[in-house]
Formats: sequence, structure tokens, C-alpha cells
Amino acid sequence: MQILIHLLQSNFRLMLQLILLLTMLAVYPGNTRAQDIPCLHNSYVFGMSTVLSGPAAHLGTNMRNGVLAAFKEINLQGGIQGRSLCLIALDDAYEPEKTVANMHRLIEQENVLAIIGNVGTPTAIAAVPIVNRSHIPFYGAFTGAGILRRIPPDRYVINYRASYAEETAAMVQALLTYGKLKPNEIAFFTQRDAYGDAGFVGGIAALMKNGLKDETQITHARYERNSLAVENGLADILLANPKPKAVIIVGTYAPSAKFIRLARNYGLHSLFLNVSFVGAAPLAQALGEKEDGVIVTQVVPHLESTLPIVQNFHKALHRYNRFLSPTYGALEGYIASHIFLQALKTIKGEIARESIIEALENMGEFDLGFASPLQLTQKEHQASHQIWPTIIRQGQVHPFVWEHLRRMP
Amino acid sequence: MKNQFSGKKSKGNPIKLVWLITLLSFSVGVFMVYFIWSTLTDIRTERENLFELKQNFISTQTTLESGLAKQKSELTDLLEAKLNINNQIEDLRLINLIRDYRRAVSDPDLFPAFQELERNINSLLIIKNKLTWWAGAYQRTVPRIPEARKEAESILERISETVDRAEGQQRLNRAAKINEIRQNISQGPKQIDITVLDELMTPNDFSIIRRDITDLVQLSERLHAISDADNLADLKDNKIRTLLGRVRLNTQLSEGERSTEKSELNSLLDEYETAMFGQGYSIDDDHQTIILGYDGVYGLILDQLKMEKEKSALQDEADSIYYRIEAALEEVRGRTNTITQQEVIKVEKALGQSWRTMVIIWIVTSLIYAMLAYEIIMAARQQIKAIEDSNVELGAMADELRKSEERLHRLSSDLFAVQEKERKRISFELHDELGQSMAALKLQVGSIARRLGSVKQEELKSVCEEMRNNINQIIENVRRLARELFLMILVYRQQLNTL
Repeated sequence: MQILIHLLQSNFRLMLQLILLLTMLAVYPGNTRAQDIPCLHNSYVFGMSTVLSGPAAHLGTNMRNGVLAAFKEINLQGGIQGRSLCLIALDDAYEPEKTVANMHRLIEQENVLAIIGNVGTPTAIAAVPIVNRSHIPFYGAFTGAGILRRIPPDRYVINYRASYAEETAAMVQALLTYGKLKPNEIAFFTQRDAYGDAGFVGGIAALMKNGLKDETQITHARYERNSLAVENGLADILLANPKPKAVIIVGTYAPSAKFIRLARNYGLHSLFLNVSFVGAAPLAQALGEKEDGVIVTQVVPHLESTLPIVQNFHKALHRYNRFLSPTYGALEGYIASHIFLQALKTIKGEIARESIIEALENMGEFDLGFASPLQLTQKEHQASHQIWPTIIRQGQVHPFVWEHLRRMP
Repeated sequence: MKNQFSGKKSKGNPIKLVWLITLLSFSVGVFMVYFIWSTLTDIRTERENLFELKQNFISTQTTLESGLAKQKSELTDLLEAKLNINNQIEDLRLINLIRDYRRAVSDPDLFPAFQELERNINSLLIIKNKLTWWAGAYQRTVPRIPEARKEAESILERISETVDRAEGQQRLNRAAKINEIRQNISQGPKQIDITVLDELMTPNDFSIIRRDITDLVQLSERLHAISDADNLADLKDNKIRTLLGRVRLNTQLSEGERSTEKSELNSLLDEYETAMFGQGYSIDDDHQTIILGYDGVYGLILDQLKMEKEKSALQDEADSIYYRIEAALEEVRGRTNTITQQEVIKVEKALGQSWRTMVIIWIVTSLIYAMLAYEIIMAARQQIKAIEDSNVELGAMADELRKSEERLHRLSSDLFAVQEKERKRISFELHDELGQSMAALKLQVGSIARRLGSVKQEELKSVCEEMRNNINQIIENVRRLARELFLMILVYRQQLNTL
């Protein structure tokens, strides 16, 4: 033994090479993408099927970065139960068919413990039946669609974020309360799919709660998914009577930006409000510096917030990759993962799919410093119901408070 | 009489009988062992033969069935257009197997069934070849449909978006004008420009195009749902052709008109028509038809329909061949089962026969043993009875002997008395007769002796004569006495004998 130690000491370079070789051998083959945390043989493996290519790639990459930042943070603290965490993120290009294939690969081949932070409503529609069938946790998806928020909730589907319906409802409530608008002065411009419908239904429900009798009084224009043909919708809104003072947009950033720009060109000087999914940063970029006053609701605190969780996020993201700039998507990924990891820490013994669900459901009420505490129970599978408004001014996203609507024209 | 005979026999041969039984037992034992051994050997041989026959049938059947199943799965694969490497050797082996089977069964009744089987398997292999060709063609055609469809759909989407945008733009312009008029009206009554109103009232041509495009999208969708070539042709020549004609008419630029959307739409429609009807298609309005070019969704769908039809015909044919094969195989299987069953019955029969023979032997042997045992028992009984009888006789004889002895005793004492009496009488006689005579004789002899010389001869003679008479008398008396004594001895002896 002493000879061996002596030999190793004398061959320090050899020892280093040996350690390097062993580490390389321990790493899973085929999962060595630069940004991912490599999966060691004893790591807890989690999966993600998200959009990493195509026009909506920023949504997926931001979410993945947030999740990975949280994972790296916990790994640096010694992991969970002394084992590191890793993430296998597969690209579905926002196409449900690819999501199905990815989900099967993650569950059956990669044998992941949970699916975390998937992006998109149509992909979620494809994924949810699979997770329910496979009994695998589907946590913190980047979508506010109703399909993930059934009553009573699906056992294996647990969300962090507020729903689109809650976002549009918050907008409606603020417009009526602080903007002093009449219900029929609010119009909707939504994508012709489940995502757009979810937002519209939430908004209409809030309007009904505030005294709207006939929903046909509300102007509702739609555009086709994956198209920029927003003109017809805009024409509908332009011809509406009374002229809408606020237009709630539930869509993606490119058609939304075109709609807003075109509306301004045609003299529609109403307030435009978007839900979080649009992506505040790309929308701001697409609108350009001239645009001033487009509201985007968020499901996470503002990036400049002094809340400890946000500060930790900045640190973790920097530690993960110092070249990345913080985004709301990454923050959502980070906060969702943070809650998830808190739950994992409570698990005694082997971490398994069922025990993850139990741990998440046993979280109960907990506080991240938000206005109201978060809650995860057997009956409540959505941790946060909170909405944070932001406003795009001169191509920048700033925090906003609903009360400021009073001052708006 | 029988008792006497058996008594005699048993009295005569008990040991021999035991020997006989032992010998018989040994012989029967040996015979039984031999018989059982030979029977078991026979049965085992029969069973082995049967087992071999069964094995032979089963293995041939199994190989044949697995070969057929393989063929079936290959056919199913082919019907699903999965091409597999056609293994001709396997096919040949299947035919050879049928021949082997026929040889193994060697039942002339089954020759037609085997012929049918062989014929159908040959037909099956022909179908397989046809299907291989078909699957190749299918694979070359059908997988291209989704891609072609996607391309056509994406063109339609682009058409729809273009129309949507153009219509939206028209509506936006009108909305702006309407809003302007509204604003003007709200600022007080003013003269309204009639030309603006006219323009607003003319139908939005892109709205018309949009409706037609919606129809076109639906018709394009319907192409994929049609399962009949005639309906497909009707859809193409009558519905899509006329619809395309109408859209083309509406997108035609009037003199002096400049519409980028319409030009874009026209080129998109060209793209759509090429994607649908193939490179080099032509619309023949005179004959109200669209002449297909190379490739294109429609051509592919048509080919697919034809292939599906062909496939279903081949499938039907294959199914009917399978049905016939199954029937022939069933017959062969039934017959071989019968043959095997018959062999089983034969063996069972032999087994039963052996058992029966053994039982009969056992019964017969048992009977013989029983009879012999009976004989032995009877002989023993006879012996016992004879001994008992002898005892009784001996007792009686002893009595008789005692009585004889008594009588003998009595007789001997009687004899003694008679002897005494006779002895007395003889002594008397001797005394009386013989003594007297002898005394007289003595006196005479004395008288002669004294008279001798003195007496003349005659006188002496007379005296001698007299003396001789007396001697004769004495001899007579002695003779009589002797006779009487002899008689007495005779009587005595007789009496003794009687005793």
C-alpha cells in the first residue's frame, strides 16, 4: 500500500490523468452538451423536453438556464443526500410530436425521476397524458394553461406559476379598478388555440365577476398560430364600438409586436397588455425603442427585486454561466427549481417518483418573501397565484404597479 | 367308491403330490416371469414405436406450422409494406417438408390432401413474391405522401396567410376610413364623399378569395379521406378544378391593377397546383380534367389507393389460400391423429390382452392350486380317518384277542379236562383192556412154559392160537387206543385252532 502511495506521489501527473480518465468514464455517454450538467453514475437524473431551436427557442433556453443554475447551486452545496443532480434537456422545437418522443425517451430510456420545466401549452397537452400514465412528476411547466390545472388536480402535475387565466384576470381587475374602464372598453386579441383561449376565458370570467352581462359586448379578435396575419384581427378591433381603451393580447411576441405597431399606425391609442408567455424581453426588442407603455404581466418578481430569492438567482446564474443575462424565463426556472429542491431535501431515504410527489404535496404553506405565501398541498398543485406587472419603455422592461394605471390616458 | 379311490391315491402319493405342487409352482413362476417380462418388453417396444411415430408427426407438424407461421408473418410484414429479405431456401424447405410429411404419414387416403397442401403452399409463395414486389412499390410511394402533404399544406397555409393579410389590410384601410367618417360625423354634419362610400360598399375581393381558399383547404383535406379512385377523380376534376378556376379568376389582375398580394397568390397557387398534381401537370378545361404530372400529392394518393386495392385483393387471395392450407392441414392433422390414436389403441389393446392373459393364468393357476390343496386336505383327512379307524379296529381286535385268550384259556382248561378224562379213559382202557389181556397172556405164557413137554403139540398149538388171538385183541385195542388218542389230539388241535 505504501509502495503504491509512494508510486502515486512520485507520478503525480499520472495520477491526475487517471482521475481524469475515471471521471470521464463515470459520465454518461451521449449527454455531454456544453451547457448541461453531466450526469454521473450516481446522480439524481431529471428530464426536460423544451424548445431549444426555432423562433421560440429563447423560452426554452431561458427556462433551462434557470433550472440548471438552481441545480448547480445545490450541487455546489453537496447535492441532495450527498448525490448530485443533473438535467437531461431534449429539444422538441415546440412541436407536440417531438415532445411525445422526448417524453418516452426521458421516462423509459433515461429513467428520469421527474420532468421539470417543460415549455408550452400544445407540448404540455401532449405530455400530460404520458406523465399520468407513467406516474412521473411533471413539475413547473412554463405554461399557464388550464390543462395543467384541473380540479381536482392531476396527481403527477404540479405547477409553480400562476395561470394565463389568472394573469388576464389580474389585468382585467386592474383595468377596471385603477384604469376605471368599462368592461366593453377592453378588447382581446388572442392566438387561435388553447393558449389564447385560456387567457380569453380567464379575462371574460373576471369581467363577468365585475358586472359584465353579455360577453358578446367584448371585442375578441384572433390570429392564426405561427402566422403574422394580424390585420383582420386589428380591423375587427378598429371597427369595434366603443373603441377599446385596452387590448389584452394573448400571443407570442412576433405577431404581438406586429399587432401593436400596426395598431399604432392605424391610430389605435389604447393600452396593450400581454401575458408572461410572450416574453417581455423579445417583445421589447421587437417593439423597438419608440414604443412606450406596453404592459407585460409576470409570474415571478421583477429582476431588480431585492427579494432574497431574486438576489440568489442572480448569483446562481452568474455562477452557472457568467455570460448569461438574467431573464424572467430563467428566474421562473430558478424559482420553480428552488421550490422543487426544497421539497427533495425533505425526502428521507431513496428519492423516487412517488416520493417526489409526496414531498411536494407535503410542502404546505411556505414563504419566499412574496406578497402572499405559497402553498402546495394534495388539493393545491399550483404554488403561486401571484402576478407581477411590468412595463416596456424604450425597449426596456421595468417594474410596474397597477395603481399607475390611474395616471395613464 | 371315489373316497376309496382318493383314499387309495392319497394314501399312496402325498409326498409325490407335494413335489408335484412345488414343481408346478416353480414352473408357473418361471412361466409367469417370462410371460410378464416378454409382455412388458413388447409393450415397451410398442410404446417406443408409438412415441417415435408421434414424435415424428409432431416434429413434422411443428416445423410445418412454424414454417407456415413464419410465412404468414412475412406476408403480414409485406402487407404492412415491411420489406424483408426473401429467403428462397426457407420456401424450398417448406415444400420439402410437405413431401417428408407425406412420406412419414404414408397414407394413400391423404395423398390428395398433401397435394392440395403443396399446391396451396406454392400459390402462397407466388403471392409472397407478388407482395414483395408490391411492398417495394408501396414503400417507394406511400412514405412520400406525408411529406408531399405537408408541403401542400404549408403552401395552403401561406396562401391562407397571404389572403388573410391582404383581406385584413383591405379591412384595415376601410376601418380607417370608417373611423375617419365616424370622427367627421361626431364633429358635426358634413358632406360625405360618395366615392368613399362606394368603395366601402364594394365587396372585399380577398374575402371572397378567402372563402374559396377555405374551401380549397377543406377539399385538399378531403383528398386524404377518400378511399375510392372515382370519388378522387371527381374531387380533382370537378370540385378542385372549378374552385381553382374561380380563385384564379378572382386573383387575376385587372388592367392597370397592381397588387403584390394577388401576384404572390398566383405564384403560390402555381406552387400549390404543382405540389398537388405534380411537375408538368396541365388543366384541361375543355375536357374538364386535370392531367397529372410527375409526383404530386394527388398522384401519390391515387397510387396509394390503387395499391391498397391491390393489397386487399392479394390479402384476400392469401387469406383464402391460408384457409385452404388450414383445411388441408387440418385433414392431415386429423388423419395423423387418427393414425396415432389407432396405434395407441393397439398398444392399449396389447396391454389389456396381456393383463387379461395374466389374470386368466393367475385364475387357472389358482384353481389348480386350489384343487391340489383340496386334494391334499382330503388326503390328509382320509389319513386321519384311516388312523382313527385303525385305532378302533385295534381296540376291537384287542378285545377279541382278550376274549380268544379267555376262550383259549377256557378251552385249554377244557382240553386239559378232556385230556385228563381221555388219559384216565386210556389208562383205564390200558389197565382194563391192555392190562387184563397182558395179564391173561402172561398167565397163558406161564401155563405153556409149565406144560411144555407134558402137553401135546396140538394142545399147545391151540393155546398159542388162543394166545395169538389175545395178542391180536391187544393190538386191536392198542390200535383203537392209538386212534382214539389221535382223534383226541385232532379235536384238541381243532379246538386250539378255533381259539
